[in-house]
Amino acid sequence: MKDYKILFTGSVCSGKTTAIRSVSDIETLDTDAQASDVTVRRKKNTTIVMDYGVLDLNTETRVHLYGTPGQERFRFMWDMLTSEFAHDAIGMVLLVDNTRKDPFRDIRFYAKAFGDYLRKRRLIIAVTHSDVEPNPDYNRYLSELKDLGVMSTVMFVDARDPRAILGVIEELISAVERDIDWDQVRDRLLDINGFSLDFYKPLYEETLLDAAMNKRGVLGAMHIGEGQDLLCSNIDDASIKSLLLNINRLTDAISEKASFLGAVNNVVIAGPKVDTLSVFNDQNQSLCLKSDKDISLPVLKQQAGDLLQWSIDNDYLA
Amino acid sequence: MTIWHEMQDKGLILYGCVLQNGDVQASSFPPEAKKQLSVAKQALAYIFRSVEKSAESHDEAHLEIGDCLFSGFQLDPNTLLIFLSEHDNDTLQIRQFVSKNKERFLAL
Repeated sequence: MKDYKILFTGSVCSGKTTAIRSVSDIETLDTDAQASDVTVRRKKNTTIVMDYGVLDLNTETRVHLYGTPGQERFRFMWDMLTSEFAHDAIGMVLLVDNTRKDPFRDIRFYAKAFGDYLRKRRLIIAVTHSDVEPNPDYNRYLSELKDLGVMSTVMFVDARDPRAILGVIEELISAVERDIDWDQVRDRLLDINGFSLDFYKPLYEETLLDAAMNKRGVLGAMHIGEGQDLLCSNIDDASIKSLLLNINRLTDAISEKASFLGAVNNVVIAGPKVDTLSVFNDQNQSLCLKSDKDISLPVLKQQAGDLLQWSIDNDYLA
Repeated sequence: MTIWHEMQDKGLILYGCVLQNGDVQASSFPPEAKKQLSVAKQALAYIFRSVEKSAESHDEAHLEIGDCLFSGFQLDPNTLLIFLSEHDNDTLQIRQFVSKNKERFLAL
């Protein structure tokens, strides 16, 4: 028996668990737990350890499918998967959710996080949810990947469809296995696993503020839309609220008057005995946070960026 | 070696400047970074004025714009220390350096 391994990764809700489940010949091992941070906004359960499935291509050839948890706080599992379980994988599939505000940021992030791992194996970028959000399109992906210097095949897939995921597997395996009857595998999977539209079961439940409050060290949050429109806030202290609004106005003014420098990404004010106040800008919206003074700026930036990825533009999904 | 060189050598900043009541007291900003200094001065002064009006006691501000990071430290009510660094610089290290060397900056 020849065994191959493929590692699936990608952001939360990109379809990793669904993809593995749709082609697995065994009941997949998935380790879902109730999500406790921003992912709650998109679905109730998220993988915390790993997904595992097996696909028999014929009596002689088997593929083991491993899926990483999406959330970065389970990064130790990424290391464990790349150095232990899937250290000898033939390739990696990066599932990219096209409804993300900036899907290319995910590609940059994962290409960097798995940089060493990808030096020795192929990467396939499998774009999901394009039925909900068709843009960026295929050509845009090719052009962005060229600019990023990422060598990869791009495939638009529906993670629920075993035919689509099998196509991704075929892309990786057919280079080393020439005797597989892919049509037969495809028909068998459709017979056994079918193609159900119920797999995703997304539950868009939590507001940006609630999600922000579940982040480590966040004590209050305020969401500002286009034109300084205060969308929601749970910061009661009037002076802090006014200060954050002033700073947000400043960021708009600077971005306009000092455009030669680029846009203002964020402003953070701190002090030895006070809570940290910050304003994070993302396109036409801002997230203002009041947070514990001991939370580092890089952590704060990462949390805010992640929160903004799921905000305004996805509200229509709610 | 000046304190600016010391910080540059440690990779903490590109340039720095001390403002006394809004006027430049000491600076390592070169003429070609004049525009950046002007933006930093105005923006950070506005932030600390807003902090003062709100009766808050924040004495440190970081503004990330494009690839630049402007940092400001209110050393005393009249003295503002400004730095320009790369946007991904470690602000914690800058803070620690300022805290250890506050008197040296005030003496400039």
